[in-house]
Amino acid sequence: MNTYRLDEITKRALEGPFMDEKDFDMKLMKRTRELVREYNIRYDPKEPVCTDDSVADDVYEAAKRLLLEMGFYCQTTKRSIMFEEDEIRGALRSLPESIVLGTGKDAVPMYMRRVEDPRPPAIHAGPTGTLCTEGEVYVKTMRSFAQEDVIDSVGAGTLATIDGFKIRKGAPQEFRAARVLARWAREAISQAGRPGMHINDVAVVSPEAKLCALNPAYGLRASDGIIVSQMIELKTSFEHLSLIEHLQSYGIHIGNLMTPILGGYSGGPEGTAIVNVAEHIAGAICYSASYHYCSLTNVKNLNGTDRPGLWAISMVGQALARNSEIMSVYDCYCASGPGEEMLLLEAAAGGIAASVSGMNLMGCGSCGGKLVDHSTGLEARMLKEAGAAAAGMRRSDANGILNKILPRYEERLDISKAPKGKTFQELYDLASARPKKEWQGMYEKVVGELSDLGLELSI
Amino acid sequence: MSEAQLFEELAKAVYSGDDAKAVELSKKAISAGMDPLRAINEGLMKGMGRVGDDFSQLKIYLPEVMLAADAMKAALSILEPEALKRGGSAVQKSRVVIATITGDIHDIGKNIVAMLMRANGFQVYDLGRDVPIDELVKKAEEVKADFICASTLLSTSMPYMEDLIALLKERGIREKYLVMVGGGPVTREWAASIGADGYGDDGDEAVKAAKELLQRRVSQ
Repeated sequence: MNTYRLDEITKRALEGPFMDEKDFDMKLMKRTRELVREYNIRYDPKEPVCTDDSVADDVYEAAKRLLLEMGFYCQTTKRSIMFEEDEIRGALRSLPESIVLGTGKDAVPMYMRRVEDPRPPAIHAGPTGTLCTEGEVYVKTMRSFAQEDVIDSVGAGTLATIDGFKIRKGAPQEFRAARVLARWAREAISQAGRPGMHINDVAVVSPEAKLCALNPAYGLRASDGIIVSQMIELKTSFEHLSLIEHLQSYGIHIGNLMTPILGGYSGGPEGTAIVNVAEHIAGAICYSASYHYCSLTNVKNLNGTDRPGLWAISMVGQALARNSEIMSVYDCYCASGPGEEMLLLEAAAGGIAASVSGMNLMGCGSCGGKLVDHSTGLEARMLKEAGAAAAGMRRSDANGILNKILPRYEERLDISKAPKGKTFQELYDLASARPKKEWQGMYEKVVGELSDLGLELSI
Repeated sequence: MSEAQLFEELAKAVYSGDDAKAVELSKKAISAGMDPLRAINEGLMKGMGRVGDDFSQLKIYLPEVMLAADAMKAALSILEPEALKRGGSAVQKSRVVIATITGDIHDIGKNIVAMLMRANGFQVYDLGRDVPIDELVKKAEEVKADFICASTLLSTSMPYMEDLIALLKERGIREKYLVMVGGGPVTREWAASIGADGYGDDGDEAVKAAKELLQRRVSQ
């Protein structure tokens, strides 16, 4: 995106139709319900991955109409940034078919995948959305992801403290945390022998704090990425657009993070899919993002691996893969924790559903992000391996496997009851950042079970 | 239609978000000389209770909850004034001051809790998002609140919840309020560790916890 477009977006945020935010939410809720009915979009629990192309196309059309009618709401000005249909078409036409993650020998391509695409998905991994202990444990946790050779990019966990000081949003320690998180991520990928590997974010909240991580020598480089969030649902603010302004000039990849709430304002899986596709389009135009994180979150269980959640993300992936060049990344958020077979099964199901639907991958979050140090490289490996094994698979075959995996965990997704597992320190050897026998053995057992279902993963 | 049947129809009207039907039945209850307070408790609240239970199990979603809350509000506008006429203090509501706390602009969780509390008979003062802790305390003092509720999705805003309780203690007013916390990264154990009185995994549990806390306070 050039400066002219950002100026135009700002102008529209200042001059678009004024609406109280609560009214915007209500209007979005009502209009989404109407569109679900008008296009007769129906979630079928028997098919976690919808196999009907026309439904994907309807979801895309409904999403485009929703965005054209509602606009992209700016919380700062309480006005909607409105678009014309031609502008959407024009902006989307300029998107690339592939991008490069990282630099030098560690650079990897990330493709715009299509439905049932035989190319394996790229994976952005890391302790996403998980609280981590600062210092060596953090570096080793990151290294556990980086040294999995199938992983293409590492992200960041959230620190509760820095130098023993509790991090409060907007306080000086948050700015220090941004610098240190970037430095520790560099250290982790260097330790793993992949110094040019793509780092996709530093997990601090304030946009101005994120800027502290940009440093070609010790922090994030132009070959890395920074996540810019949308607010729920279909909203942005000058804070976020201002961050875009600087990231553009730095030349770094921008990740458009969306957290559509299944069960929230958009309603069930059908409405959530429509709203989230609209959010992807808005992010492609206003954030000029290289990739788009679909971090679907269940309103109660904070996960995205239940049956309606998988149906919704699959629908989003298919709608975009069939109708646009917008690279959607399924952010796999799980209810259970590391050291549990259930987490591996959740990751496998997520990887399969996303892969056959034309998406790339990110993950895994665990335990709804509530527990400290509950994140390891091994579950991310499962997510990627399952996604790679499902690449090129027919959606109907994917459903056959998913319908055998889902019954093994879907009764235990209640966040208060899902098995929490263990911490990174309990499951990994800290010196080598390799999984201990217990966790590795469990991984191999699940790989064997998936093989019996027809999904061949490497160990 | 018997009283029991009418109350059941009221509950159904609320559950299905049919505000016109809820208003019609409320008027019918009054003209038939039924006790408006019982119509509220055995009709509207019962319907809203079912809504809360089903939302908790994700049999229905937020839009259905919002429509039910609207139907309840419409019916209350008929039944409440009548109840006040007949007894007044019988419809006294517990007061709740709620906000998404400092540093956080994610408010859907807080909005759900506020809506469910309102629908369950609490008088809710929703201060919005990114609200400094002193503003929560100031409002609670002003409206003589029973509850102060704080929500966040961000771990970096959780320390402000600890600050809230510290401020109440510092001002010597901690015991005046029931403090509840919740949100994505917040756990029951953490809530207890900072000295909060209540916590809910979700909106429905938050409402149940608030009712239990009130009950306990009354029986003390």
